[in-house]
Amino acid sequence: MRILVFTGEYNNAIRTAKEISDDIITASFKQCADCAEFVPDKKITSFESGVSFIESVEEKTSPDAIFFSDETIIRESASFFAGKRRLGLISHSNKVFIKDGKIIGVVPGWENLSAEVFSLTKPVLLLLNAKEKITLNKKSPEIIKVDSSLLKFEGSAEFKKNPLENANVVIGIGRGVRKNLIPKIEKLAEKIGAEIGCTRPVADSGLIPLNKVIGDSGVQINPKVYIAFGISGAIQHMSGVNANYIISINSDANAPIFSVSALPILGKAEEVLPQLEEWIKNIS
Amino acid sequence: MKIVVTVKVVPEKIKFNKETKRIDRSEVKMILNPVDLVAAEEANKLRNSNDELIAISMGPPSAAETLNSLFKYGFDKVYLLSDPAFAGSDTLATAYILSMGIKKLVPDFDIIFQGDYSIDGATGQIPGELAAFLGIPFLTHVNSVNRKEIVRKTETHLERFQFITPVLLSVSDDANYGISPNLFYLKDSIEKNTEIINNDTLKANTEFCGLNGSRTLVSSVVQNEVKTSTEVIKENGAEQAAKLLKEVGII
Repeated sequence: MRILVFTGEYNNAIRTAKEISDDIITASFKQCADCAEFVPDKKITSFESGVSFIESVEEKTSPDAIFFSDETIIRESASFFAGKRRLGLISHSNKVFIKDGKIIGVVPGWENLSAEVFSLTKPVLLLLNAKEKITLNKKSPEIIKVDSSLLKFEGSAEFKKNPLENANVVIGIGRGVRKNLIPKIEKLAEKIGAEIGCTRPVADSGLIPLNKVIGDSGVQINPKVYIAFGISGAIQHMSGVNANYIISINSDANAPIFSVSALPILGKAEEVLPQLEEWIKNIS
Repeated sequence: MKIVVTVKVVPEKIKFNKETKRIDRSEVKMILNPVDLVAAEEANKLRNSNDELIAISMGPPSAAETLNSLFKYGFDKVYLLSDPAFAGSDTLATAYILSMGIKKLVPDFDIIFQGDYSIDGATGQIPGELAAFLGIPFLTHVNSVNRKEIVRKTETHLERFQFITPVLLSVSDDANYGISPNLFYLKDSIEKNTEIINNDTLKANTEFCGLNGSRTLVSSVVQNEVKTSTEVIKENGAEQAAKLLKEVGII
């Protein structure tokens, strides 16, 4: 089965594709000298150039499936391409496997549930969660001429990275934390040099800004230690957590987060927090 | 200008029946998708007194009641595309039906606003598919719009584009705090009602609608395996946590 993989800033989709096939062709939305077999001849700033890039590479390679790294311009181009060609597009999958000869994408949903989705059309189109940069063998790519965009690009500015991404310690706030406890947690964070993050429902309530959401629809964090207060550990949240140690405080003994925690502490956030403050004061 | 906002009616909370493996929609309060209200506020900020603001939704007839609240926000017209033939649509079929609705009801539109995602689906792929069916340019993750330029946010950059019409703009959830009801429109909201449009009027090709028109299918819904730890820490947890922080050099 031949799989064509489009990548951008992240390229972990290639590894996922290799798990199910040996016949992989790579193409990069980013102009680069050694990251893929096909690259565009100019910067892709919107979907029009992106769609023409997908079409040209598809024509040259006749893939059975096309995997897309789930990043802004790639997702835009993939979804327009799907609409234009009336092809099924499997959304933001975490995992991919083959069952009865069909490619199945595992799409995370609510309440620790996932939907297993397949496409009825060929080539199979699938968006894969983009998270990591992996190292590849150097190749000299074929340069593809792409269409210009109707949307006139006027300029861009790199914005400051979210401090959560590179934080050494992150304290996460979940629904199990009472409103009046949040300032106290913020104080602790300041003391130990931690960044504050939260789950989506907490941000939706307006208590913490939306740019602090950790997970699928937010930031990916990579701290040494993640301290999770009142977080059950739903997959949408945990998919954004890549920590060496997780310390979780939860009053539900069956909270899924306990299974991945170095220290699964059973207790209420409001009780454990002052004890923790006290111990930190004593030890440091 | 004619400004269209697509709006989805979604359950406020999801209840999942583990035995039947289906979403339990009975006794669940239905709301307007919050991100669509953020998109509506972008439309509201852009519009002048002679512009028309039109909402288009797709869903069961029961969604009309929830959609009626849109008049409080100053919408001039609210349409609900509803037909048994539309049930079970995936994103591609949904985008097709919405495109037929827009072509039929607001053929001379200038801008279409959408929310980047719905809280009950979150695929984020409708904007691209709808733009393809309408053959118009589009951008997602839009943060602000004025009649000169559009600003959007990718993973690493803020990007500026020249403003053009017709265009489809999918708005980021942090673009604003969402549209607020306005007393000025209160009378409208009492007098006006959502207009339900079925397929006799819309004349969409049923081959492209609902389950017939879907190109992706859900083969099963699985519960993610969760290992529950048997060894939770009941005592001296705070002490161990502090020691761990010390060990890795944080305190």
